[in-house]
Amino acid sequence: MHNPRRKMITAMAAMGIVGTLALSGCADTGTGTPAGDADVAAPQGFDAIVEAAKQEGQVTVYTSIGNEAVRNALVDGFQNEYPEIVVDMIRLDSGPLTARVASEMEAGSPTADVMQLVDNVLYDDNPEWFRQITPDVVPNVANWPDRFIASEKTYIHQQANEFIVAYNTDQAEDVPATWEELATWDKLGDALMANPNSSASFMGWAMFIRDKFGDELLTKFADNVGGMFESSATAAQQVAAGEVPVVFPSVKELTTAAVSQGAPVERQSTDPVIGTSHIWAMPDSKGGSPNAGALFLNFMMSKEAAQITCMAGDNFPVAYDDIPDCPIVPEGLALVADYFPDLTDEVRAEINDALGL
Amino acid sequence: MLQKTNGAGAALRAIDEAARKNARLADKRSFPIFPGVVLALTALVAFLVVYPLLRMVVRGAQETGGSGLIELVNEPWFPGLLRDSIGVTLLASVCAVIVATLLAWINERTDATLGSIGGVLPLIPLFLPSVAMAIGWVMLAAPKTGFLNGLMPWVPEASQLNIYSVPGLVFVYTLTLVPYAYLPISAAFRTIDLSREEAARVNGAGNVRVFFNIALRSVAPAVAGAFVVVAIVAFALYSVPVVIATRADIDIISVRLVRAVTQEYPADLDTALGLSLFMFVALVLLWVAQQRVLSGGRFTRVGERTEGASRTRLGGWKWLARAAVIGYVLASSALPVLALILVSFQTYWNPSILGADYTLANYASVLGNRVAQRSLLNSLLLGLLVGIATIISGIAVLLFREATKNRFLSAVVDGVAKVAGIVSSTVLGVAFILAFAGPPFSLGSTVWILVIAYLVVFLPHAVINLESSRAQIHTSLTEAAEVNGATLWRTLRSVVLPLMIPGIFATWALLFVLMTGELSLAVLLSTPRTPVVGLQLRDYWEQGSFTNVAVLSVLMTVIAAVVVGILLWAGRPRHARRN
Repeated sequence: MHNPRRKMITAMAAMGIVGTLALSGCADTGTGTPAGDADVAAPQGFDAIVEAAKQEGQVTVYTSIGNEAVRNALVDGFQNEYPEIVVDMIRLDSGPLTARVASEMEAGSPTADVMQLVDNVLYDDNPEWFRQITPDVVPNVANWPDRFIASEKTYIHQQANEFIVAYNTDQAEDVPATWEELATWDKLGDALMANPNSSASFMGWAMFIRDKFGDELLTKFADNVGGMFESSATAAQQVAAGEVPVVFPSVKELTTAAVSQGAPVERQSTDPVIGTSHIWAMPDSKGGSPNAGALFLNFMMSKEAAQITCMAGDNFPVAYDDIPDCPIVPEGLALVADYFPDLTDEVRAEINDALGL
Repeated sequence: MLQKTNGAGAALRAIDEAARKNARLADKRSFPIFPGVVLALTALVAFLVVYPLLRMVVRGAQETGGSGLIELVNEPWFPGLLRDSIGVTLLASVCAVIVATLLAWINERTDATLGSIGGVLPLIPLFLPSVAMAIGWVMLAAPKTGFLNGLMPWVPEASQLNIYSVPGLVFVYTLTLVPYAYLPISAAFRTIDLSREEAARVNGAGNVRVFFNIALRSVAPAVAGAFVVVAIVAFALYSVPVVIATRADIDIISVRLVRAVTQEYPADLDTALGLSLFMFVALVLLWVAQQRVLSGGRFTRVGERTEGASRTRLGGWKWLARAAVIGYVLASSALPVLALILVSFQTYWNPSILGADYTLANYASVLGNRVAQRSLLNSLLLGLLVGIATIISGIAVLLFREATKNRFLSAVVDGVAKVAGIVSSTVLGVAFILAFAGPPFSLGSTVWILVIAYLVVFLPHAVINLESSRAQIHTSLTEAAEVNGATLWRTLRSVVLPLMIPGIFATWALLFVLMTGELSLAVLLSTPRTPVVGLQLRDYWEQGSFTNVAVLSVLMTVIAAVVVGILLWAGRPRHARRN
């Protein structure tokens, strides 16, 4: 017997029941007050942390690592050691990632158990948001050079990356090897430059250029460059696809995959050398998976992780000087993190003025 | 006799009174709590819309104040932002209305019509997520790397297609907006008085004169109304400009607003709140303009139509007209989807179709990503479940308006259900963060903030579509039910709702596509704990992972097509079921 009204009502009722159940399922992954609680006593000793992490069963990692193969290798390496713990790795550019963490923290609903950025501005502005990285929670911190541990022990530098110029070899050649020459290069009109407002690390690069050469060189870059990009990862992909001939400042890891897949991409080191770094921290995730977060950070500070992220020399580990093809970070390498203490609103405004932004 | 007559009259009056009393009682017995439920629902929706907006206005006044707004207006980028946003909105609205008018005229008033299929073709883009269309066009017409440019290597670089330009952006806006203008304009063409066209032709007027002097003038109020509707949608659009305008250095308000909240640290709330207020006021003004157009327009009605009048004969132009309809479908759906499919299988985005390396690894990568898996599942569930919840709410509004005799209450319920339609989802997203993400509600990072936002934002779509579905049921059917003694509730239950089933399922399908393809709410309110496709797509886009963007867009489009197909099949009319 055909009864469309009854069918419709039955369908809607079924959808309603399934819906309530399903949304309850969705909500389980997204409640504002996750299973654990900040008041619950932390497990004592690393073995207890490992056991507690296995009970948590998952860890949420925020990262700006641009190379998918590296991210997958890190997840695989961690899961080889701890197969009971599922890793949710979320990748965003450092600028948007910083904004996301800040908005989640301010709303009282943090998501990440462990995270990485390429600058330490967020960490330094809000140390109360982050747990201390101490040997009883993260034993590998004992292997870490002091220079790469924050004074408040709320973050560590895991590796350094040199800023380079990435270019498409089908569309550009003879790319200058110094920042000064690059600013007046006659092909600069085809190139894209990072907008310093899109990420603190690019602002750090602009501060470095200003420190070494003055505002004039920044203005020359702004006058001669073809345009600006907001996302370094997107810009690197555009170079690989041939959409943009040259982008700077970039880092090697963003184009490593394209190079290995045969894309016509090359990377030019540029003097004086300035680098950025991968900076890891443990947000107070208010009971998400704090023990699994500590475990993942401990893995990130292992020799195995250093070998994966060094990418056969594309990046510099800050610890473990005996990894083949992975020279440790040079002693004198300038890092943008060194410039951030001087980054004020006034400095930011002056740099924007010099760049005409 | 008189007495007898009076007695009979009194008896009849008594019977009539008793029948009416019974009917009223029956009405009450049928749904005694219904009016209360609808009014409670109305109060809830009013709270969910008004409270966040009030929070936004108050916070905006506190944080930026009058001086903050003046500072915003004095920002060096503000004139360019206004110029670009208003310019693109106006250009795209004009183009969309012109294209929609021509398509509607071809389908409704000429012998180039493709029948019922022709009437549906211009609506196909409604069922393709607009972000997928925009990304598809980037892959087709990006300078140097677009497939269309790759197919024309002889064209000098300076003359290549460039989607990252004002014409490129306006083009994709237009493709997105045409269905919104097509619906009211084609409806108007269907109902115009054909005898005037006949008379003009008899008096020797050619097709062009008939079109401009008769047909176009007859639908002018609908065209004007459609223009305002399209301008409202265009002004609030986020998914297209975030993909194209950013790279093209075209400054669009919705993009800058979302960026101020989600991309900058510390979040630039001053700018976000100032722009939200500005957008809110602009959209309210456009809505007022639309109301004036609608109230001032004189629309011909079905009853005035002269049946049997012939369609305009286009002669040889018929094939060109049909090619235009098919060209629109190709440009708005087929070509961008094809481009997405190609890139989704390439190792990296390569404009050389034959020279590229193809792989399944991108699908393995996306489908192996737990967050991407959850985003697809969550979007599917939210689209279906919040879609049906929104439809049930819309039907409740519709039934309440039919049942109540209180015109004031009816207007209040109607107004509340539609009020979110004049507030951009971007603005509502920002307001929802301020109102509900933190204490005391603490809904940030939960699925419920998305559920509420989707319900509020898409309720106007549901009500308006259900209204048009209800309007297609001729009053003679409901009158026949009443004559046969059916109560109002019984008439609604047994006659109106069953006849609305195709419209209800079509609305559900539309809501599903709109919800799953929605980008601004996804970016503002979803988190990796509650990921939806829009967020994951934006994340992949930000990463520059074009192959993954293509994979996710293809998967989203396939899911949308399957769900829409199932819903339209389930809701097909009874006569179609028998066939």
